[in-house]
Amino acid sequence: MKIKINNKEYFFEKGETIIQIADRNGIHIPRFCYHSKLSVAANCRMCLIEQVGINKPLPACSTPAIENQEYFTNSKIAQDSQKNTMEFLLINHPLDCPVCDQAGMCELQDQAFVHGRVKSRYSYEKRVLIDYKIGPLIKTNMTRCIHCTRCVRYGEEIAGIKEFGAVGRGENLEIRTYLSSAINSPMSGNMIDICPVGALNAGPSHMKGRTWELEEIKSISPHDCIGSNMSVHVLDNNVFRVVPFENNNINEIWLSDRDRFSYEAINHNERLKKPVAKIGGRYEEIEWEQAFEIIKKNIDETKFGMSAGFISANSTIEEQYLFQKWLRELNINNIDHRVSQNYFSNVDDNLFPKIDIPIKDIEKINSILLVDSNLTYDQPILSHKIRKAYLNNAKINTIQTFNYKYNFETSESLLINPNLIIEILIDAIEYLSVITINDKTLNNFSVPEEIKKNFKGKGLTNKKIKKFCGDLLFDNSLILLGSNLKNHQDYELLKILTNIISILTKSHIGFLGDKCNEAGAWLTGCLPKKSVGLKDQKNIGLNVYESIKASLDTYIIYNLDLIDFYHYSDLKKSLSEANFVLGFHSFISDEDLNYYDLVLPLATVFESPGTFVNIEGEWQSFSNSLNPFYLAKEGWKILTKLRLVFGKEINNKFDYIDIINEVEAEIRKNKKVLNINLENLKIQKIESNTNLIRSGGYSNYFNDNIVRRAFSLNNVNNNKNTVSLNKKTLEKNNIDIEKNKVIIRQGEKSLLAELIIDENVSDNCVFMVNSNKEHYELGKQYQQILIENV
Amino acid sequence: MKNNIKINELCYATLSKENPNSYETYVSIGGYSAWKKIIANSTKPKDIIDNIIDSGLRGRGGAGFSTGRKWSFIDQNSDEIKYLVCNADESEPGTCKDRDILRFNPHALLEGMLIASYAIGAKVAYCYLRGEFIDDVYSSVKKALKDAYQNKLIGKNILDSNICIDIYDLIGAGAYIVGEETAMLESIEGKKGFPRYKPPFPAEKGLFGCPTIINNVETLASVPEIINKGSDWFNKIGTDKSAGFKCFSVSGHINKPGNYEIPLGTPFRDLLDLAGGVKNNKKLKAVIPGGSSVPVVPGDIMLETNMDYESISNAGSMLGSGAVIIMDEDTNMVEVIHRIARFYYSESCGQCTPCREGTGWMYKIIDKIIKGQATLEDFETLKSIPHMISGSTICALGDAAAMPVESFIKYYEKEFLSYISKKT
Amino acid sequence: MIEKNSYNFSNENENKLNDWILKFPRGQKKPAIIYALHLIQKENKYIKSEHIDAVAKFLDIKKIDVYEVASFYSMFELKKTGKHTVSVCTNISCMLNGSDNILSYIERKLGIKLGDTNEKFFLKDERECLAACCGAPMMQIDHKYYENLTTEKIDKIFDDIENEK
Repeated sequence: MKIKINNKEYFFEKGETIIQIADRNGIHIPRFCYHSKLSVAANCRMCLIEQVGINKPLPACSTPAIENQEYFTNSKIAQDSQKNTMEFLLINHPLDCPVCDQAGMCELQDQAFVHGRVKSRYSYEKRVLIDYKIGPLIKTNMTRCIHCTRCVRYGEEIAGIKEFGAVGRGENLEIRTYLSSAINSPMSGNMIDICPVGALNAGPSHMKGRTWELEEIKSISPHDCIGSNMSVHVLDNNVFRVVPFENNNINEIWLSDRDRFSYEAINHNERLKKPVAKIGGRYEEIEWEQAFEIIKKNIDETKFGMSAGFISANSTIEEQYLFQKWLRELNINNIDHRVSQNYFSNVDDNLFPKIDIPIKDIEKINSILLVDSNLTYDQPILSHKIRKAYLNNAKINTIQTFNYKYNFETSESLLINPNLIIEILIDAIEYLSVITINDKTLNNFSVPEEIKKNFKGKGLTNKKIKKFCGDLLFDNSLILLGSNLKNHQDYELLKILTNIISILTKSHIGFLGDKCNEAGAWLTGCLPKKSVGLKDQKNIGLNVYESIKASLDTYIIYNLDLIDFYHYSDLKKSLSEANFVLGFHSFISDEDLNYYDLVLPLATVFESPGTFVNIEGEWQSFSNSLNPFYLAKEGWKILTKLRLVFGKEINNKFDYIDIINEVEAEIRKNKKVLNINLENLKIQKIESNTNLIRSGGYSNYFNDNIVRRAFSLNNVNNNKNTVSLNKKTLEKNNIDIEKNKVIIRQGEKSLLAELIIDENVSDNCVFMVNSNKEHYELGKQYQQILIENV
Repeated sequence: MKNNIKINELCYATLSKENPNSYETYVSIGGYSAWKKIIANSTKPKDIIDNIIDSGLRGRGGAGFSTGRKWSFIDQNSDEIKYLVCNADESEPGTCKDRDILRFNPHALLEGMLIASYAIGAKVAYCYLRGEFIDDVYSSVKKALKDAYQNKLIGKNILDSNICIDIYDLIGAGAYIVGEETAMLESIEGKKGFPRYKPPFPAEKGLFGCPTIINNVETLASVPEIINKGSDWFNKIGTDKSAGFKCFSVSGHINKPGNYEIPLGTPFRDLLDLAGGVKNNKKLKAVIPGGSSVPVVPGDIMLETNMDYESISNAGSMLGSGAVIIMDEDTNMVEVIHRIARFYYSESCGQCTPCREGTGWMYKIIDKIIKGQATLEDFETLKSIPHMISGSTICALGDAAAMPVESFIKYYEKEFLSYISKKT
Repeated sequence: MIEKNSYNFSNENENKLNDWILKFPRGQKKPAIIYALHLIQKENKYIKSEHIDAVAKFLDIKKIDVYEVASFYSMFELKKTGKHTVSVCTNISCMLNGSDNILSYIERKLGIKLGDTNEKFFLKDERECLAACCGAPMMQIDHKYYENLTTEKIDKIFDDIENEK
C-alpha cells in the first residue's frame, strides 16, 4: 500500500501510523510523548501534521495511514500547529538549560530551537513543583516536566511496576510517586533515558558534567548472564554515566539499574593502586617487577598437586583462557571457577549455563516453568522478555521456595521448602513418563532407573504438577532454573532433573547464571575436568571444594572477594594455613588482605578490553572505556607477562587481539557438544527433612565484587537486616511474634535481626536476603539455621 | 402563538402527573409497552435501528449525531461482548434537563436503555451519573431500577423470554471531562477521566476493550415513544433535518427559568415567551444557546433564529446540550467570559498540551484584563490563543474552551478594550 | 506525611463494595475505586493516606492508581474538612442570578472564606455547574440541592442544620 508524504510516495503496511512510516524513511516529525517501545498516548500534540482533506491537524503518532492519502509534515497547518504546541509547552517550562543535565541531549531544547519563539508572550509566574526524593538513582526536577507520561507508561508497560502516576488534573497535573515513595523497579534507570526533558536525571551523575564533553565507548554489561550492550560515557578518564546501547537481539534499548549504575565502584576506596605484598608480617606496596619475582619463587617452590587456582566467572574470556593456560603450563590442574557452587557430585557435570533459544525469541514462548528464580531482580532483562511473553498470553508457572515478586503474573505457583524441590521434580518426571509412554518421537529416551526408584505415585495425583507439566507440553515452552540454586546442595541433580523434564516435554531449557561470563569460563576450561573447548582434561584436578578441603600450599585467587565462595569459612581456614596466597584483584578489603601474601592490582572491566559469552552463547567483545587505575594492569597483560616470567616463549608482538584469535581457534577446533550424562547418576536417599533451612539468595546489588561496592545501588534497599518466616513456622519454633526482633544462629555465629511475618515464605524456611557482609559471615543459604527469641 | 406549542410530551411526559417518577405512573401513560412489544414480537434488532435512523433522532448530549447510525456502527455479527453506556454526567454549564428526566421520568430512560441494548446486542448497560447527583437524583434512579427488576423488565430472562439485559447504576465523583464519552469509559474502568484518542472509536473498542455505544439520557429516553408511535410520527415533528422534540434548559436573566421540551425548529422568540421573557422587562443582550462551550449569539440575531441544529449553526453557534442562557442588556460580558474561562481552566484534565497550558493562559489574561492590569499586547495574545487550541486537542474540551473566548471577543471587543483603556 | 494508622473497611462497607464489584466483568476490581472512595468519604468526611492504602489492598491494585483517581475527581477531599460540605454554584447561570452575593453572604455567615473549613462546615471552592441552572442561584449541602436561594432562605437552611441532632 502507498501513501504520499510531502509529495513523495512511500510504501506501508496496514495498521502503520504516519510517524512509523516517517521514521522509517527519515522524515523528521517532532515528538515528545511518542516512543516506539511504548503505547501511543497522543498527548503532547507536537507531532501534528496535515492530512489533505481534513481541516484540522492530526497527530502523526496515532493517525493510521490510509491508502493513497496525502500528508504533509511541513505545510503551514503542520508547522503552525507544531509552533503553537511548542509555545504552550514552554510557557510553564523553566528555561534553566544552563544548569540542566539534559541540556545538549534535550528533545525540548532541540525542538525549541527549530519551532520556538524568540521572546515569551507568557508573563505570569511559571508552575513550580516540589521535588520529592524517590531514591538514589533518579534525581527529579519535576518543574521541568512536560507531562508526556513516557515514564508512567514505561512503568506500566515495560517495567511492569507502575510507580509514577499522573496526579491531580489540568495545569496542576503532576507526575509523581504515591506519597513520594522510592522507585523500586530494577530497571528504573531507563526512565531517565526516555524522559525527553531534564525532569528525570541520573542521580549519581547529577550536575557533574555536560553532555557535549563526553566520549562514548561501547561496552558489555559485567553483570548477570544476559550480556546487555551498553554505552559508557567518559569524562576525564572517569565514567560519567552508562546508558543502553541498542541491541534488538538482547537488551533492546533497555538496561538494568545494576548495569547502569555499577560503574560507581570503579573509584571505590578499596581499589588497589600498586601490588601489595606481605613483607615481614606487614603489608607494603611494591613494584611490579618485585611482585613477579615473589610469584616465581613461591610457585617454583610449591610441590606438584599442592596448588589451586580459582578465577571469577565475571572475568573476560581472554583472562580465563590465559589463567588456565598459565596454570596448566605450570602443571597446576586444580582449576575451577564454580566458587559459589555448594556441592559437587562425581557425575560429570555437562550442563553449563546456557539457554537453548535465542533471547530475542523468548517473547514468543507459550509456556514457561520457573524453578526457584528471582528473575525480575536477578536477570531483569530476561524478566522483561518473559513479561512480553506473558503479555502475548504465555502461561507462566513457578515452583519456588519463596513467592518472589515478578513483573508478570503467574498462573500457578507451588511454594515449597528447598529440601523438597528434588522430590517435586521427580514427581513431575513420573507423571510425564506415564503420559509420554507412547510418544515415538522421544527416540526411546528412558528415564534412568536411579530416578524411577524414587517414583512414589505422587506425581500422578498432584494437580499442580499435572498443570505445570501439561502447560510445558505446549509447543514452544521453556524451563528456567534459577541462578540462586547454585547454592543448593543438589544443584547438579536439579539441572539433570529439569533437563529430563525438558526432554520429555520437548521444552527449551535454560540454566540461569548470575555472572556475566560463566559460559566463557566453561568454554575456556576453567574447570578441573575439562580443558579449552570442553575437551576432557587428561590430568584431572580437584574441584574448588576439594581444593579448599585439601588445605594446599599455594592458592591463586583471581578477581573474587572471599565472600564469593560458598565454602567461605573453610576457605579462610585453608588460606591461613597455606604457604603462599596470590590474588589478582581490583578491590580488596582490609580483612581479605590479611589472607594474602601478594595481591596484584587488576584493571576493572571498564579498564580493559575483553569478551564475554552470554547465556545464549553470543560472544561479545568490547574495548576499554578507561585507562587503568594508577598502576593497575589489564589481566591479559599480567597473565602474559607471568607466562614469560615462567619461561614461556612469546612473540614480542603478541597483543590482545592474538589472544581472542587463539581462544576462538582453539575453541572452534575442540568444541564438543556436551550431552546430559546419566550414566553414573546416583541419587542419595531422599528424606523429608523438617529442620529449619535458610533461603533467600543474595541481594541483586550485592552479588559480585563490583556491584557490592557501587554506592548508590547499595542505598536502594533499606530492609537490610530482616528475616521473614511464615506464621506456621514461627509457631512451630515457639517464636514470640509480638516481639519484632529475633536471634538467628548458624553454627557458632549469630545475628540479631528484625522479624517479618510473611506468608510468601515456605514452611520451615528462614528467608533472608544476603545483602551485606554480616549475612555472609553468618553462613550460607540452604544450610540449617536456628531461630530464637531475643 | 405559544398555546400552539406542544410542550413536555416526550421525555417530560410524566411531569404533569402525581408521583411522576413512580413505576405505576409510567405504566399508566403507556410506559414499557414498546419494550414489551419488542419482546413479544422478537423484533429484529436491525429493524429497531432502521426505525431510529428513519425517525431522525439525533444525539441530545451536544454533538447531534444520528442515534440510529451510531448504533449501526456496532458489528451485529461479531460475538464480542458489547456494552451500552448512558451518559448521565450532565455537567455542561447551563444544562439541567437530564436531571429532571432522571428525577421525574427515570423509567423512560430505563426503557430506552433496554431497547438500545437489545438493538446493539448488549447484555450489560451502565448508567453513569455525575457524582454530584449522589443524593436525590441517584435515589430516584435506584428506585426505578429496583422496580423495573421486580417487574421482570430487566435482568435474566426478561418477561420469561430468553433475553437477558442487566442495567447497572454507576456514580462519578466530580469531573466535567467525564461527560466526554471516552473519558467516561476510562472513569467506568476506574481511572482518571482522560479522554482516549480516536481511532479506535468506542463502537469498535470501547469499555473494557469491547464495542460500546454511549448515549445521552434525553436521547435514550426519547426512544420508547418512537418505537410506540413510529418513526414517522417523530420525524414529522420539528424540521427536515432536526426532527422531534428537544428539552431546553432556559436560565439566566429570565422570568420563568425552567426546562421546556418543545419541537425542534420552534422560533427562539416563542421559547423566550414560554419562559416568560427577559427578567425585569429588560432588553435581550445575548444568548448562549447550547451550553457554555458554544459561541455566544447577540440577542438581535437570536430573536430571528429558530431552535434547531441548522438554524443555530447558521447563527454562528451550536444547539449543543440545549442550555439556553439568557443575558440582559446590563450584563458585563467580560465578567461572563471570565467565569466561563475559569471553569474550563479548572476542568481541563491536563492530558494534552494545548488545553492544559492554554486554558490557564486564557484565564490568566482575562483575569488581568478584569483587574485593569492588561495591555493591548496581552489582549492581542488572548485573541490568538483560541486558534492555537482549536482542533489540536484529543477531545473537544479544547474547542469548548476556545470557542466562547473567541466569540465573546468577536462580538464584545469594545467591552474588553474599555478595561484596557481604563489602565492608561 | 506518612500516617502509620491502618484502616479497615467496616463489614457493611465491605459488603457494599463486594456487591458493587459484581457490576463489572469478572476479575475487574479497579472500576470500584470511585465507589470505594465515596464510601470512605461518607464515613470519614475526607480521605487520608491509610484510606488509599486500604482501597488498594481491598481491590488488589497499586496505591498510585487509587491516588491518581482520588486526586483527579473534585468531589474527593484529601484535606481535613468540617462535618458538612457546602458547595455554592457560581457558574454562569447562577452568577447571572447573583451567586457571588450569595457566596459572600455565606462566607460571612459561616465565618470562613471560600475553600476553607471549620469543624462544622467546609465551604468548597466549587467550580463546576451543579446542573440546577433553572433554580439559580443554588447550592448543595452534603449533595442535597437547595435552589432559588435568598438570604432568608439561607438563614433557614443553616438554622435547620444547626438544630438537627
